[in-house]
Amino acid sequence: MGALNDLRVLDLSHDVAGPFCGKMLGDLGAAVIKVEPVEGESGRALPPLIEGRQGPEASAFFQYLNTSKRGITLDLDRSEGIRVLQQLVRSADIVVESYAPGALTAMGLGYDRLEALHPGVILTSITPFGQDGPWRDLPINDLLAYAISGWASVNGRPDGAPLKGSGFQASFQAGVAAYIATMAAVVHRDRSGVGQQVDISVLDPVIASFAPALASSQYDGRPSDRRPATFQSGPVRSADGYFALTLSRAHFWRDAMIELGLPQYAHDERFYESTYRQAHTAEISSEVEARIAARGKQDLFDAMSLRRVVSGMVLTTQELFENPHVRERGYFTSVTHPDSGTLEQPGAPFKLSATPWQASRPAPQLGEHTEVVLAEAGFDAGEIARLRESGVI
Amino acid sequence: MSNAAGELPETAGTTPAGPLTGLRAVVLTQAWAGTFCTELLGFLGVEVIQIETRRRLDSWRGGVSAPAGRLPETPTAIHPWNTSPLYNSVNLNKEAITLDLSHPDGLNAFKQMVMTADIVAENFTSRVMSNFGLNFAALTRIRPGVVMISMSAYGATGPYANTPGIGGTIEPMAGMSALLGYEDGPPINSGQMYPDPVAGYFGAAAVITALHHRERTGEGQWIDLSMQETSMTFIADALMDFSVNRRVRGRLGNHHPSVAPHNMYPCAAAGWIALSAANDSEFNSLCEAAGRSDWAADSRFACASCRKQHELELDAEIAAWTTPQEAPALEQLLRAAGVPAAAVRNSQQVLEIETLWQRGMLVRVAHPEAGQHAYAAQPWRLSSTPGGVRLPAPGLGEHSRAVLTGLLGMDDAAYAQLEAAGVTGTEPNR
Repeated sequence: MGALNDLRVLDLSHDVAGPFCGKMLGDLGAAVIKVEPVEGESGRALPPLIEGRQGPEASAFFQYLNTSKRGITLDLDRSEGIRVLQQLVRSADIVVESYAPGALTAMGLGYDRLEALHPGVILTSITPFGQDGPWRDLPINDLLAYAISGWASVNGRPDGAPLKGSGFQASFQAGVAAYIATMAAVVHRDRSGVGQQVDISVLDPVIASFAPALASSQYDGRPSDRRPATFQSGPVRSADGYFALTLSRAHFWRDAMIELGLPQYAHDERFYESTYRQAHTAEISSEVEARIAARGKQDLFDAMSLRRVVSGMVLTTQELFENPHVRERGYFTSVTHPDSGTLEQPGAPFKLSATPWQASRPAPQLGEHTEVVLAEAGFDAGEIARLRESGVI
Repeated sequence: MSNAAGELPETAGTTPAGPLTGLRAVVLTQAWAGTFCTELLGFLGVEVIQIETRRRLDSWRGGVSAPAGRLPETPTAIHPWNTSPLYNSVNLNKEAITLDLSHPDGLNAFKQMVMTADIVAENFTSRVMSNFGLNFAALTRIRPGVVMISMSAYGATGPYANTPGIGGTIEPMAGMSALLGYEDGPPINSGQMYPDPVAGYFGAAAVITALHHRERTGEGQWIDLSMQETSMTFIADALMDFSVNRRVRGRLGNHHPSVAPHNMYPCAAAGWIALSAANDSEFNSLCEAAGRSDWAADSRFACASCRKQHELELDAEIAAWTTPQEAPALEQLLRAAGVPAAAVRNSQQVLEIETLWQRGMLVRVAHPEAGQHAYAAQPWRLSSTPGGVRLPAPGLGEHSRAVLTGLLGMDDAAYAQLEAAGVTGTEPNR
């Protein structure tokens, strides 16, 4: 049984952040209806595409982001489309959307209207910079979110460009933040009967995750910057790949240096303070890195783990699919899609003991559930046929 | 850009209720992943009591001496462990007490606190709580219906269950480092311990999910969160590429799998500008803003897939145009032209972004020792129950006496005895 199986959600959002929030709601048990324009939402073109395939069912990422949702198409530029949506709102606990600020109100679907249709409803809006403020009409993407938030200023090397995180990190953060705030609003509604608007900006969550750097530069007067590549800042070359030995506590340092055959560093207590190690990186790096380069990453990881020292192998996506720990934990989950067959997908990000996460159905094909959903909402066969003829669905 | 920082009132003291006001969390969280999870709950109104030990400081409080150059003008900054920017930025809204759980009286006090708790959170290596006799089964006997979250590097099961990890080692183990870096360069870690806030976000999401179930059924549950798995979830696009196409994605720098241009370009005064053009319309706007109609006319750049194919040549053209110019001016020019663009900001320049102050994403908070600074607050706005920042990060054991004598009803003599035994107090044991 899913934790959220009492909740009904309308997901009007597109791309990554909103659909990921909707996916979390669905995989955790809510009944989610994804509402798309008749031609499909922009997320159906998100990379990676399934090789050799085109059209609305081509995006592998879309298939990940939209599990556990039924899908309908609806033209919200037409008044009949709005009327259908208003009918669906009557039974929705949560509406998730990512239209431009003000657009929903202009369509006659502002919060006051939704609240009149279903008292206590929660409206979660995900926009680049929030519902108001001087930047409300500007676009954002992951590249810009990393540039603006300060994250790019610390990613990469001093002699290279600032770097964004891979893929869609900012969008994912916004999706989870939207989920947190939405579900907190649900808890409040269940106690008080009062719904509310949840205003999520894609920028805000990457600011919150940059909090330590924002404080540090005020305390010490130094702006954030990019650091050189040493074993203290990230992976370095091992005999067969890359290996990270970013040590924190004093005993990690001592035991790691013993394992690497460098007792002179293991027993010099000055190195037990990380600030001292950072200050003396130049003199110790070449020796430590030479010892790492001489051994394989699995050998190093196993040896450090036996000593209960933090360390990490650089694993590729393929190595993650084959990793014995990841497999034994059952992280990947199989989802059977009518076109693509059974696919292994990333599964639960956390394990709930009583109400486990589960992708209950594959991503909907474009308009797959339009007729059944409209019938459930009280539209009869004649009305549905008329809506289809006029191109509203 | 104007700095709105000085014009806004402090928020502490006037904070409205949050959606989760009335709930209490007793937490053993430390460093960043766990503390960020419980800080997010605190923004939503949960009363968070964080338990630390005098025997071993939270690594984010730093050592017993402060690094050179910290808070040079702040005479109240006396205790290094209370003036660490790392700790103070991810523990807003919390009360902090010290308790030595390896001492019977400390363990007993902890169990009494659990009797009052809705949520227990911890981010030790996975065997630690069991060693204290405090696994979920034990906590449920003490407090039926409690929600417990355990945030470890690799989760509580599987071959790596007892392997310790931190952000810097989990990032490679979750496949993130292999995807981050320059196209012709080695894998790198992000400049901050990125897996920590990722786990913190998912941890808060998991706790609230369990709270919803508990409100409906009275049933508590245990959340086993693996930081490796939360981070893997954020590279789902690359994992899907392998699952579907058997393609092992490498490092793309700032490039996008299908969109070009999509990069950060050098500017004058060591600045950088990020810009992208996803379609012909945005690209034509870029050409117009740059005064380079020849780009638009160039057959190499005539369609979206052509631009992707000739990406490096296009990057070189754009970089030659941006290099002599100031990034903030370029940002204005490109935004006005409808091109997605932003100047790269460092941690100090972020504080000049007006919209963050207007939204309450940044707030000024006065800390008794560290003084007044800007901090990142809650990354959402709720119309009925805003919540927000009501307390600065606590000093070590700052609320030990108040919580133990207040919540647990301990008398002053009993508290003094515990303090003398080193079980609680406000200073690290030497």
